Amino acid sequence: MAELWLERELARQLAPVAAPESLWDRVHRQQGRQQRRPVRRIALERAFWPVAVAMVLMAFAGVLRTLSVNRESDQLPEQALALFGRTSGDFDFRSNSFAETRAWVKAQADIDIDVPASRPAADRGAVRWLGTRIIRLHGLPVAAIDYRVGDQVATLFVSGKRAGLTGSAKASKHLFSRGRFVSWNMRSQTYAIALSGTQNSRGACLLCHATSPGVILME
Amino acid sequence: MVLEQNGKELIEGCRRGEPDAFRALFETHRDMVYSIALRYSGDPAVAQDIAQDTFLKLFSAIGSFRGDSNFESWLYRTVVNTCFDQKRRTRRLTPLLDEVLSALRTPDLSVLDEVLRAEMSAHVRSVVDSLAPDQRMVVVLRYTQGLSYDEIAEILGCASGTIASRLNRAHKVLERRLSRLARKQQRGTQQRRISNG
Repeated sequence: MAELWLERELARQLAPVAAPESLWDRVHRQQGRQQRRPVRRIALERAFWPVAVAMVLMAFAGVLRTLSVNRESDQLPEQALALFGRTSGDFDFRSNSFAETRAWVKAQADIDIDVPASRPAADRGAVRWLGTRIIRLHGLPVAAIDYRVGDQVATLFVSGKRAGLTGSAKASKHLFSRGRFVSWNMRSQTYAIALSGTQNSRGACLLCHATSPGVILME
Repeated sequence: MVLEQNGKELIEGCRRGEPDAFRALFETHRDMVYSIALRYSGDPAVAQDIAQDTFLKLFSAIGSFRGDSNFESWLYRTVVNTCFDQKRRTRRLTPLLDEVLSALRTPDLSVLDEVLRAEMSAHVRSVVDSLAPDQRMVVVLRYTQGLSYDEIAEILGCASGTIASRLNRAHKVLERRLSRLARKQQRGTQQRRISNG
């Protein structure tokens, strides 16, 4: 414990004092300045937050759009399968000619069908065209073209042009789903092949590729 | 340190931005805030700066004050932190000289007594100023506000034992440096009593 004289002395020397009367004026004046200053800050905040919110919304929309595109790209084969099983054999147009089929689809739905090879395998006899119909997926016209490869029957789906897809003439990375569907994007369109039955889906790749199955080579 | 009902109403008024509530809250606590600031800094000008900053912080942050917590502890912490934040000022000698000179000018008291008192005051001030900030703050809260060890511990966010330790160290420093002057003052007082008696 401190000596009594020290405690008394400290209590006396450090005793509370009255604040000067001018203190309130100082505080009040400074408070007024601070309240005026935030006006500029609030103005900046007002400008900042809407811009920030707009940017976040734009980024969110971009992400949603990307996800939507990807999801559609992934979902198309599944939806196609359902349609394929339901409408197989019920064609709007029958022809064994790829050129005729392509022209009919273009005329009916303004859909361009591009296969990597200028002379698709169908014309070489490996693929036999069965028939075509135009369906709509989420309001988007889609050409569904059945073809036979050996003893396998497959359907090529080609969508109309879709915003947000690659416009490149080079096929995007192929997405395989459950081993029975393959889809890709090209020239702002989604392509998908759905295979019926339980056969190896790679046989259907002969539509565009020279060899099948095994290593798939883009021509 | 229990917040009274009218204190809560004042705080609510401040939250609503009522000027009268700000003024009333200021009037309630201004002496306490200024006293701590002055005893810690030793400089009235610096003390006013600290007090002003404390109240501005208080007014701007009162919206975030939770009503169920202790307002006075919160206020103490605000003024303590503002003191710690205050940049170390060059110690001014003028106030010490002013105290001695004002004592010499005081007509109705013993000049010698007042000079010794002023000298002691200046020395206490000087020794308190020389303490480390955390020790100095403990001394100020103890002797300016009369707070208990537990209350100081709550404000400074440390254990009561730490407060006791800091205060003990501060006492030793103060004793060592003030004892000679205290004896001199006691001798002077005794001599004056003898000559008067």
